[in-house]
Amino acid sequence: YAWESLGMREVPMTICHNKSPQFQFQCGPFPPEFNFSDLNSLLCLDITRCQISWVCDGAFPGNRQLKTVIPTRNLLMFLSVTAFAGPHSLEHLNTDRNNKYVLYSNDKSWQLRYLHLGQHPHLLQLPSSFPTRNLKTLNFLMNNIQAITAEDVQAPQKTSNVTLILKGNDITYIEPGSFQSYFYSLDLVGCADIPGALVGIQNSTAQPFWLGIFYGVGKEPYVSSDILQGLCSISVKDLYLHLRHLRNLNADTFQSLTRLQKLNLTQPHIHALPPGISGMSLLEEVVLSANCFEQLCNTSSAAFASLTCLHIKGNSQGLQPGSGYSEKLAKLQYLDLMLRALSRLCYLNLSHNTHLHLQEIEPFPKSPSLASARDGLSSSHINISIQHVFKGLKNLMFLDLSQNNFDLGIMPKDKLFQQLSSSGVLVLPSCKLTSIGNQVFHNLRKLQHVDLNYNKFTAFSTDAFSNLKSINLSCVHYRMHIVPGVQLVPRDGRFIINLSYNLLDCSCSKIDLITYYKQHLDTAEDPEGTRCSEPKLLAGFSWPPSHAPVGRIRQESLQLSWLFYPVVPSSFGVFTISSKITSNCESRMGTQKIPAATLLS
Amino acid sequence: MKTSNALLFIFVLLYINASTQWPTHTVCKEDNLEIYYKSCENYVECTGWLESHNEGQNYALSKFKAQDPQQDFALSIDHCPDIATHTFNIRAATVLGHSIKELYVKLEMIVNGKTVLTYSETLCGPGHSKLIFCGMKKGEHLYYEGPVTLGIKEIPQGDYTLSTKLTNQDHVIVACADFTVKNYLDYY
Repeated sequence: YAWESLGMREVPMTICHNKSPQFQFQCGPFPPEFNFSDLNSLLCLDITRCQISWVCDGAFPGNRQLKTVIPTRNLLMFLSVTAFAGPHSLEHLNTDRNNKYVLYSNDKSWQLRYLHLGQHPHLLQLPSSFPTRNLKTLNFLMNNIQAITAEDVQAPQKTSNVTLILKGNDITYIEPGSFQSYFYSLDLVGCADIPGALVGIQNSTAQPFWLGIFYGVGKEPYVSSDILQGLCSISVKDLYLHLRHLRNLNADTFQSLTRLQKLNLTQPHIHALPPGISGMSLLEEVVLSANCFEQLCNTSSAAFASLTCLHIKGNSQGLQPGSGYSEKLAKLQYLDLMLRALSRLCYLNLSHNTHLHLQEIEPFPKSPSLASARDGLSSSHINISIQHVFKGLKNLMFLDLSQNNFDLGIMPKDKLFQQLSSSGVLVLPSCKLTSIGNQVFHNLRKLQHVDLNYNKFTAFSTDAFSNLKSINLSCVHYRMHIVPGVQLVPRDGRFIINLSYNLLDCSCSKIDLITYYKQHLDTAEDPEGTRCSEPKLLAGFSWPPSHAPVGRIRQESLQLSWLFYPVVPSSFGVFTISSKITSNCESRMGTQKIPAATLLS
Repeated sequence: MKTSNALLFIFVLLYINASTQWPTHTVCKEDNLEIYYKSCENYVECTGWLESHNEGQNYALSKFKAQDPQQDFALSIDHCPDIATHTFNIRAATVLGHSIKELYVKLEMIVNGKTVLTYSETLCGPGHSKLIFCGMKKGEHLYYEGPVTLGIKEIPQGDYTLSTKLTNQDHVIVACADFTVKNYLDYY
């Protein structure tokens, strides 16, 4: 239940049993004696921007089950120490500049797991009485925190495994040795003084350690190689250095990173990784996106023996496989060699490159080492019209071809996917597809999940698939016509379909699909935003349309969503329209022996 | 019963109609360059239903959702002719109606009613927050002051509309505006 912009000043009795009402934006102002005592079963309370100024004793008197309070952006003048005395299991507090009050209005029995203290309080220190026993996440995003002392971070270090988010703070000083704890995750993105920060957190452990920077914040993004030596005294598994300009990168830099399992070097403005990197035997994933590599071999990826995932998205140069070999064959050999060197490679993502010369290395190498490969080739302008482009990828299980265009928007009937007999997942969004031939996927006997959202289908038949378990058809096209096939229900009986954000035909001729959908509503993902386009009288109504036979109307929830379309006079006829369509369909349904329960649903 | 429902329905419609109008803002108005923008009319997101019980007793407007009618977003370009260069500085502010753990921008260039160019980019992605405000929550005040680098070499000349949509991790539109551009700047 969302109550927005209504200028509401009291809690309506009609929602007494609602567990998570949202009173957000421009409700209120509430009177000072206002409380939520009538909402006994309250679990989550969203009072974002509700003009609440005064919160007195016992604002939540009987709300013992209350777990989440979101009081973002209320100009609190006062919040009583015992305001939150009622809720005994508060877990999630998402606030902002009111934290000064909220932090002191706590109860030791709180089981707070998540505390978000957003925007501009200049405050890091938690009061000593603050319950940190169950704390999992402490979020100080954009708090204007510049200096951190050991005292400041005492409270979050009382428990280990906390996620501490200090992202977006202009931190220039951390007292040496302040952090000596085991953090689940430590986020210092945007920190202004890396050497200082590294001294401050030495002897700590952080599985993911975020040390990147933001675009356009005007700070010095350069990091020299010797600065990164400071990482030697910190135990880090995953290191994120995105957007930091790395200077003088050499093999020695990596000596302090030998325990890393994941390294994210997005856009460090490098042309190549230095030669001679060694000891990185634990590294499983490297992100080298948005760089200016000229050749794949510049990534030195052969130095990472355990690498399973390599991302080189958005390379600013035309990425060539490598040099030193004679043209086409040589490039093939390079890729083959690279894969042989990376025998455990299972995910190769080369999407969003400007000019990835895959045509030249087509067909794919007949490499057995790509046996368990998953390939991401999205937006790579692959020449898909080449029928054998996927030759040799018999064991490919996952194929991402999003944002690649098919000729005339038509998925060809030919042998494009014939080689991919092991594929279980096909990702084909934004491919401007208008139709798919009935036989295109029939060879893909293991295909279970297809993502076809953001395409332009005008007609779609599920007969194209044989063994499908889930399909995503959201935002495919307005006025799409779907013909459900008998294969819609897989053998084990569960099939997930996502038809959100489409305009579908709701006329009686589509009763098969509507009935199917209603009978399997539990398997429909996110039906929100799916509307009727036909017949005109039902245009704009939620899909599937509700068909309640005349005489048995239980006007429980007449959806009047997307009210932009109807003009005022038509509103008088809403019930009439609904009944009319219903009675028309009733006779059709009757002949199809559809259970009455379905009609009433 | 029907009449009451219809009356309430009209009330809802009128209420929504009243809240869908956004003013047109001027970003640049110079000899060779004019840029105006207006938040999309369908920015007001509304879902509503009327609930009536069997006896026809307790009519209540039980669900209604619309964006704050006062909410718009503010944008200015520090020095308009700079848009002829690759990077220029902007200031932008809004009150977030939705959280932006992830944020995606999609631009469509429309000339004479036809889309001739589309451009999309991830501003806040899982594992990669390019911008400082990534991760902000619903209700928070977003203010960005800094450079914008165009993904293209220069902005096209002529008269056209740039339809801009920002969506979040739930595919919900966080902000949406149509920019009217009349660009006759000289490029060197």
